[in-house]
Amino acid sequence: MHSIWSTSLLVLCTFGTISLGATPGFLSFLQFLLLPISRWSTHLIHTGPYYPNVAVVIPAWDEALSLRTTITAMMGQEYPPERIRIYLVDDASTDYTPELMAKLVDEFSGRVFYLRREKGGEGKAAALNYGFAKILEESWAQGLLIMDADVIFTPTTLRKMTRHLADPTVGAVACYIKEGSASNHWLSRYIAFEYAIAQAGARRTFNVIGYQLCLAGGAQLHSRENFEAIGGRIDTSTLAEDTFTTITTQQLGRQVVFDGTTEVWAEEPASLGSLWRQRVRWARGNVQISLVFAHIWFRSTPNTSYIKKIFYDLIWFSLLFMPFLATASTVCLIFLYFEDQPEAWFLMHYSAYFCVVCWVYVLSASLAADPQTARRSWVYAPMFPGVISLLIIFSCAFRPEVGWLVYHTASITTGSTSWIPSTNALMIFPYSWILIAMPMSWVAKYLDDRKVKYLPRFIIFLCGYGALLLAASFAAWYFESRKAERTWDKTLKSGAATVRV
Amino acid sequence: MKFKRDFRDKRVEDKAESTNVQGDYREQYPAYDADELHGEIGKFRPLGEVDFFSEEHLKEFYGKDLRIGMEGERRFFYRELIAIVITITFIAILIFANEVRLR
Repeated sequence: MHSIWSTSLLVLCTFGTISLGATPGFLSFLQFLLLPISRWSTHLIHTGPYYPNVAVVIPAWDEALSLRTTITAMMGQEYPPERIRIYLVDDASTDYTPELMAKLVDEFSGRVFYLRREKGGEGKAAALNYGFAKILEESWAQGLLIMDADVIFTPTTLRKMTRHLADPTVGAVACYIKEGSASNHWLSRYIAFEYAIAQAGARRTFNVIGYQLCLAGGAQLHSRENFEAIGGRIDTSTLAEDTFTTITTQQLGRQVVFDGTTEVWAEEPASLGSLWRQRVRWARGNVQISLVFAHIWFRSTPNTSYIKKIFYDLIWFSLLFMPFLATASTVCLIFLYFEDQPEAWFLMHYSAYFCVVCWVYVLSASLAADPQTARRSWVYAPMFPGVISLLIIFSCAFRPEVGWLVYHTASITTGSTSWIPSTNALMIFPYSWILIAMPMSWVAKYLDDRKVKYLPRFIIFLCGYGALLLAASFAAWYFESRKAERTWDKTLKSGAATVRV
Repeated sequence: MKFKRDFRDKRVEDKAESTNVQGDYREQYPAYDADELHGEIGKFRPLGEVDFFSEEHLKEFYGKDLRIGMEGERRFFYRELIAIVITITFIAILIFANEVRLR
């Protein structure tokens, strides 16, 4: 009887390890295989010379350091000047923002408008809705561009976006937001590569699938018809207002298109603490979206076939549950190790094999998608999973006897074996590394918050930027389970964003 | 203390008034210099000066953007093919290394 239970548990753990651990990687691999095909599903061939009146809405809460550059860049668009109007929504700023806005209104008279909210701090969506209420009162605007106060548009971006609206089936257009911190610090290089994966790479694949994951909140263009159809306002019930808008647009039968040839530049968080708060907010928003749109998952939509939508949903949920999947598969693997070492090793070896292949492909495909970022982040991009993870997966894939190898290298180097833990104990380390990496990356963020120099960077280098994102997802689930207050943590900006050549 | 605060406020104000774009992208974005159609139009100009944006020019811009875009898609495809070739080469090395070890 005991043996039956034991065998069943072993089978379950084996199955669990494979299916839970491999799912996100396998789906990413499949998703990125769609990248070369994106050439044939480009929406460019359906575009036309279309230059509608565009109302640009910029919510700003203490954005004095960024605004002038943003507005000047927008005014320098290679687009008919009389067809752009900028609406600056001052969300009860307490710094120099109102004075600066007044100057900008004078400077660009008739094209820049100032709207002031006396009650601020209710989040970006509330500020945007204040602006939309004013804009939609008039019939002037044919397109609505939502953008952040720190986003710099390159000269041709707006007209490259509006050309997609010539196709009446398109409701909204997203562009490639690139990391543009002028200081080019180490964290910005990680983020630059992350955006190359998530935007230059993944968003093109979603074009192929025919259903976008998210219109970036920092720069999204809507046709007026679409914006009115989705309610004429931005949702305030979740922390992911951009994802909400994206899904609603697509559920109503309009397309959302990502144009990979457009570029805008934004300053991203410069500290781990700021990055952590931003990612926890995003991840919490995704959890909320999953519940709000519970009725759409694993069902077909007007523009997407059932198979494609299922694939999209699997990607969505694998990203959403990734921290749990990684944890569960690790626990299964450790259990298996104590019950049946050869089988545990067999799985570890082939999982590592698969991880190495995924890592090589996703890395090279993402860098190929954006050669400029590849030049900027070529050192940090390979280190995305962390040095220790890379050592583990490479050694497990190439050399099965990792514990043996470590044990004998250490004994040869030091001439003694008494201080080294047993091979058994050493083998547990690679099996359980991801469970150690997540809290360690949180420790890096904790130390960075306390202004400790060098060590946080070193820890992230060892444990991986990916582990930090996983830990932030865990934290988001924790806050959601506790029904924590939905506060809008503003990401602090220094105004030092730039267009990179 | 007051002097310090005034000084800080002045610094913020100066920074807020400055821009690293300066109304002309050409210094920031020289890639556009090669494009004769885009020579002068990226500069901010007041309403009324719309000579660069006649319907004829706008159509020309669109055609040029489209050609550049389609060429970009073609190059993108080849770059992605290289990524696939790199991955296949890597898989071959992985298999070979394991085969050698097993022998």
